[in-house]
Amino acid sequence: MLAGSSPAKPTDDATRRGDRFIAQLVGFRLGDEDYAIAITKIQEIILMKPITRIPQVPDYIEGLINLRGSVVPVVNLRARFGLPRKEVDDDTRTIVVNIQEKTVGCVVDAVTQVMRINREEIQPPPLAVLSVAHQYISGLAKLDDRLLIILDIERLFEDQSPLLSGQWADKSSAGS
Amino acid sequence: MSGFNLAELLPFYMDETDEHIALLNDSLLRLEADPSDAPALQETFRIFHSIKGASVVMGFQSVNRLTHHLETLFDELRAGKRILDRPALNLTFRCLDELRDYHKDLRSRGESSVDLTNLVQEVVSYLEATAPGAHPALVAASQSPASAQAAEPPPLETGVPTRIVVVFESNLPLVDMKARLVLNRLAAQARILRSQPTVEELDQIESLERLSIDVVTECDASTLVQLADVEGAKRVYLESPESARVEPLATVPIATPEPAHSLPTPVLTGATATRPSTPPSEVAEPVPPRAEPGSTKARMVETIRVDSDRLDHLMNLAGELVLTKARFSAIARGLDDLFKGTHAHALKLDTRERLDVVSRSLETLTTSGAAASGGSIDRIASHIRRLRDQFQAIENELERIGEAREQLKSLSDTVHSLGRVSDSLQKGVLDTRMVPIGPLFERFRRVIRDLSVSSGKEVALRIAGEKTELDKRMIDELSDPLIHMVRNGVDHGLERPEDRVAAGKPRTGTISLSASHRGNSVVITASDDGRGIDIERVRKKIVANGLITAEDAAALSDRELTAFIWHPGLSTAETITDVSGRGVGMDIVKNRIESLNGAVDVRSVLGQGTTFTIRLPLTLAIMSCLLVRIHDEVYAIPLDHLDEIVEIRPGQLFKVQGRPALELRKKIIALVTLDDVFIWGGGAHPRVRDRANRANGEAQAAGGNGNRIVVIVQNGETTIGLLVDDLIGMQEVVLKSIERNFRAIPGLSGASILGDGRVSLILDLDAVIERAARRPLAANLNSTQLAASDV
Repeated sequence: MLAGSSPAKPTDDATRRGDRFIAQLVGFRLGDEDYAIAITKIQEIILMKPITRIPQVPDYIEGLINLRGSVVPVVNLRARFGLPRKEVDDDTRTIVVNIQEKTVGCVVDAVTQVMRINREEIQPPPLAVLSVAHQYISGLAKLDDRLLIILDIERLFEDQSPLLSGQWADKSSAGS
Repeated sequence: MSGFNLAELLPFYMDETDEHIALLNDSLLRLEADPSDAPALQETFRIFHSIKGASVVMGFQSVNRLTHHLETLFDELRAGKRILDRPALNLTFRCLDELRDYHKDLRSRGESSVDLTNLVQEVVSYLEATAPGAHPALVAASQSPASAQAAEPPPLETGVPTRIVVVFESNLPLVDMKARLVLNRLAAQARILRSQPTVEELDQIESLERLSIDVVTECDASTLVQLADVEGAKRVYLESPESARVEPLATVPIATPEPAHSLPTPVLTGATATRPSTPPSEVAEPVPPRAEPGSTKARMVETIRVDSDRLDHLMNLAGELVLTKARFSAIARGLDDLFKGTHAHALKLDTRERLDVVSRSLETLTTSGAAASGGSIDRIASHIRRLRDQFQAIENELERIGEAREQLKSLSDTVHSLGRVSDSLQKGVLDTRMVPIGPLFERFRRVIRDLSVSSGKEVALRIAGEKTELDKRMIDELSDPLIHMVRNGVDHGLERPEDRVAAGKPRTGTISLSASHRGNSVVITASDDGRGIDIERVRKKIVANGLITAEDAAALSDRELTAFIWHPGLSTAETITDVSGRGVGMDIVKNRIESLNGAVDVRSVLGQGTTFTIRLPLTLAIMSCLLVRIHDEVYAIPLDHLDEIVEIRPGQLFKVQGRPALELRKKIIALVTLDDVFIWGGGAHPRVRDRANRANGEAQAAGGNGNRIVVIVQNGETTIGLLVDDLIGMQEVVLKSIERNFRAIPGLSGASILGDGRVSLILDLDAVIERAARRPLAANLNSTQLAASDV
């Protein structure tokens, strides 16, 4: 979790306070909802690239892109959260995140802004949230009049392997 | 020595010592086969000496002490003062194992907890208990500080080299033994640099009249002569090696008739014969320890250790370069097409001529005073003039195009040579990763020896194709699976000696390892001539283990049953041994080989043996592929699986149990589409879904004439036809891992990046074929994609 930052440099008081009290987030939109990911997880934000579809994966995996010579998978976050798909338009972006050792792209409707939010303003998700996404929410915050959903992107990718379609499972277990 | 940063030296020490330990293993095995193998003794001595030197630099005292005593042991052995007996050999083997463990620990943790003290004590006691008499000089010598320098030849006593010549009586019986005796006696008091003939040559010699021995010693001349004077020696005398070399015969005081062939160049021993140009001044140098002792392992190639990451990086760059080249070629071809077309030269001349004719006729008209037409002729004439001017401009343009065409030709040539360079660069970089499989196979001599001891079976190892090269990483990864197969072979495959004899087989079982290149792949086999896999036992076992029902098992073919050995939790060995038999492993072996994009197969004949065949790509980095288009995406089909490409008419299609098939040269081949084996986001590929919708009412659109392209692929056993939409061409593709950022996808070997920057998928045809063979009868998602008549 973001709050559990290390006591890195005791001398640098400002940084420490910043770490402790202020969360830096990148906001994006899916449908009419506002989401955010911790900026520390984000490698870059790119325009849509040609995607090569891959078999044997859930349909929210869009496919593979070439990111400067590396082959990177792309996840459609709308599909991941069970929202209807949307045609790619001028605002569509791929947020490239780093999760552990891996690099993954996330397709979102639009990237809104980089924001700083006081941690005290972030509240835990209510159990009543019944979207597919709710288990990946690390917190909620009010931004002006709107509700900002802060995603735990690590957890979003934790359960990659069980989501295989059945047939290949015997073989694929060896690969993951 | 405090100037060194020892931590930095450690990797070098480790690499060097690992190499030494591997070599040591080889030479000990050679000694086991022939304890008097002089080159092997020499080699063993040299290796212990090198390890000793290296360890003292690093401050590994226990290693230093152990190798010091072993060095002493082998020094005496090579000097012929001892005979290598069983206890000594076993002790040395144990030392080797301990040294290996010590260094393994050292490598993984940076320090080692392996205690060598007891072993040192054992070696010392052995040396003392079996001391061959007087050898204090030698021990003292090898303890001298000079010996601590790594990779230096053993130290020598100070003193001038002296040549002792013994002239034996003609036709002396047992002359080789006498010669050995002389050498042994001298070795006790002096260090023998070389002898002519050498100890090993003595074996083949029937008659000998002159033995010359170069020694360095503190002893005086009379002692030496006394030592060398044995019964049957006609005369013993000393000379300096230099003079001996210049005119050997002239200095022989007694003109004994000597056959020329028994006296080759006297300075060099047989072992150094590969360096015949040694100048006389080098005689004082310790040649024997440095010379490769005539073994088959002589490696004179200079090598540099390179971080494999750097090689990978180069590999990637070379791959990108090849891609860029492919792009260039495509552009050049495109330009070529643009510039083709008719040469306009003749047309140009013709047009100009016509313009000239027209303007001349107009002039005639004007001068003939036909003013009747008023100003119209003048107008026409001015038009013609402008036409001529404009044509001039066009002509210039044409000329430029002509020049461009010439330039293009040189561009094509340049692209061509760029292609040549980039291809050979890529090949060169690939070659740096290629190493022969020999050393890996050689390691099995030891494995077999240990297995043979522990299992009580007599096992011989046969190796073939050890020069076959493959990617270093693959060699590393292959070691464990191979060990497992070989253990399985010895443990489960080979019978006990008495059973073998009873079965009319040779008492000693044989394990064979072989490697060979087959097209784009390497085939490695591990086989035994044991009892083979008992199919009926497998059948009983899988039913007993609840893997399938008895009815299903009864219906399975032998081949299908054999394939069950890859199933986790199946072992047919009656007793569980510490080596194998727990039923784990074979599935891991299969997984490991598949993760290298390889395939493994087993064939067995009851009573005759079992053969495992591993097929691997030559390298993990690059694959030759056929690029095809399926569903508007580009797939790469590795060429090693490709048989041919055919175009089929709808009439050539059949249905076998509801599945499409085609006939090719009288053979019925299953026709498979990618959608038979792949599921896209929980269903058929979106394009197939689209097409299926559109096909409602519309006629089959594909290809106009309804012909379809089928790529015939095989995995060595099953052949299938894979339906593709379009062919793109052959290309070397750089393999990129999908797992790196995602996870392995069954059916895909990886991905590659094409010239246009898009990702293409490389099919893992072994998995595709296996999957196609296993697909359920009913499910046939995409019959709509086949000929319309199917619906």
